[in-house]
Amino acid sequence: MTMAVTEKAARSHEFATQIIRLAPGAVLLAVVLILWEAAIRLFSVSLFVLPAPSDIAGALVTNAATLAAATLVTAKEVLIGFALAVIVGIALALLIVRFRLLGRALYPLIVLFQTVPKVALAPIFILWFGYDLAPKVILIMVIAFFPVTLDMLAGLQSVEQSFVSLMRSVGARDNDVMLHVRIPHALPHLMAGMKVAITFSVIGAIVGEFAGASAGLGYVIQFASTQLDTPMVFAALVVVSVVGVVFYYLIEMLEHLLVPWAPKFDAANRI
Amino acid sequence: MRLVRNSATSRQFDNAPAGVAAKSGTQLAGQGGFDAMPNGPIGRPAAHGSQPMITARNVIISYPGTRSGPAVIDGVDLAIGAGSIVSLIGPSGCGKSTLLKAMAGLVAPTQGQIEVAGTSAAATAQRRLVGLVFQEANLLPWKSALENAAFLLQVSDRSVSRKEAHERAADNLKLVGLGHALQKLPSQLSGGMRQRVSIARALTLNPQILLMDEPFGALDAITREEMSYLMLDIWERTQKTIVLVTHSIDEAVLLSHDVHVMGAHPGRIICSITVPLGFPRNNASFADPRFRETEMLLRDRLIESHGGRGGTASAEERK
Repeated sequence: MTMAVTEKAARSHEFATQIIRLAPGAVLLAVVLILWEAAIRLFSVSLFVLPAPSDIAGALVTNAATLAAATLVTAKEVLIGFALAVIVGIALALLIVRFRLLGRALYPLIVLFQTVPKVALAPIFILWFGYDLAPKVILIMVIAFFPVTLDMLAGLQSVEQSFVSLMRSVGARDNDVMLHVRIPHALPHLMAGMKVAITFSVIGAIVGEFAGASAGLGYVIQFASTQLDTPMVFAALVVVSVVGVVFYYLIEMLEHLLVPWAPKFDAANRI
Repeated sequence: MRLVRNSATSRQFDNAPAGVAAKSGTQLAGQGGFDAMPNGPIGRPAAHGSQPMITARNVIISYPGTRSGPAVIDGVDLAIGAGSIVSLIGPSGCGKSTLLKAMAGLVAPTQGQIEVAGTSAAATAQRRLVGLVFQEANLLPWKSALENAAFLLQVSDRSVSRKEAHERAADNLKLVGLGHALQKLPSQLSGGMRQRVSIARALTLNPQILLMDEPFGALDAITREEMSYLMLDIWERTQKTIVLVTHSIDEAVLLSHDVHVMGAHPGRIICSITVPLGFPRNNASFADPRFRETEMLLRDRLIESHGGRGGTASAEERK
């Protein structure tokens, strides 16, 4: 009984701390929005140039159905593309660590490929893979796999050499070291890479839709801007941001579930 | 079996130039002995060390595993008796860690032979003869103390059931004084406690030999001393052969039957000293004048091995 009560108290305390942590950001955001609104009204800025927050909110409400449908399309692209990026990213890292010669061959090529501006590839992917889901998913994959590979590699190699010696001293094979030591050690790093990758994925989806699409938030943004419907452009941007933030925190939750023992790389709690 | 440990390591209080010890050892390589002076045992229980557990004969190790590279170890002869505690001490870069790794079969000698429990050191890992302890505790942060202590046994011996591995691990955690912390995660343990888990993990393998590479180097002075008493206690109970690489002269004298002083560039044994103190040892051992004398002697030898002229008079001269 007492245990449950104290636990409950501790939880509500934790909740209160979280709220207090969020407060400064919320206040700053409110101040910016109010100043923005005031400036637009004061200087009578045209709606086509920059809508006021209230205009954007209005567009969000009026076009809720359109935006919801577009969000589903984009979210699907992001999820599939991100999943592919994670799979490819992990696979590359494992190959590089496990097969040293292959790794020496692959790694410079991966770095080289990373320096190619992926945005420029979007039209080519449309040409190759059509107009539908495929080119977006592939674009997201090539944009987002790199941080996964890089962090996974760092994680796999973060194991102390003396730990490897320890394993080898009892006759453990490379596969045992990989399975029992390297991969679990890499998980916190992988999670950090995945957080970067998910934000890249959202960008990738929007860029992919810019290059050619008939649905999705990127398509809505492009279409609305040709119509000079600036409030709708901003409304879609707000939704894109929210999608990105939701995915980001879903991964953070996954991190807490998967690697509760890991040191937290939580920048927000450092401040 | 001519190689008798007692005669192999008794350059005690001998003020002969450091080079002589190494040279005489090299000359006798292949005959089994490495010291020309068959002095009798001093202050050592007769029960230990009549059979060598580890022998090194004219061992040369070049890095990185090439015959042409500079030698890290250049001509080491060594005999470590079964059930004895032996320290390797010397400056950084003298190859003491490399020698330890070679005993564990992790590094192959470029020339010469190392035998562990009657076979080549290359088979040490397969026969699971050694338990290793490093300066880093190397615990898996997601596993409890118990799971960590059982981990190496479970990985290396599939015939041992999880239950048995955990039972053996629990016994050894109790032996190192962590019976109360079986379920604690490494992050909940102090540095000294983590190192105790690492020792329990090595013991859970039930190896014939414990190889310890500066195991207490990262701990504070008081914890270090506690760990030394723990090792003495473990040795009294298990009679394992223990090889300890250390920078601490105190630690070497307190724990060891024999101390081998190594010199660098190239790495070799420049003298071997038998500690003239009986067992059991404890904190009263520090007060024994023979302890201080041995310590002084080792200090002089170490300074020589660093190429210095010796800041203190040798033990003989002080008398």
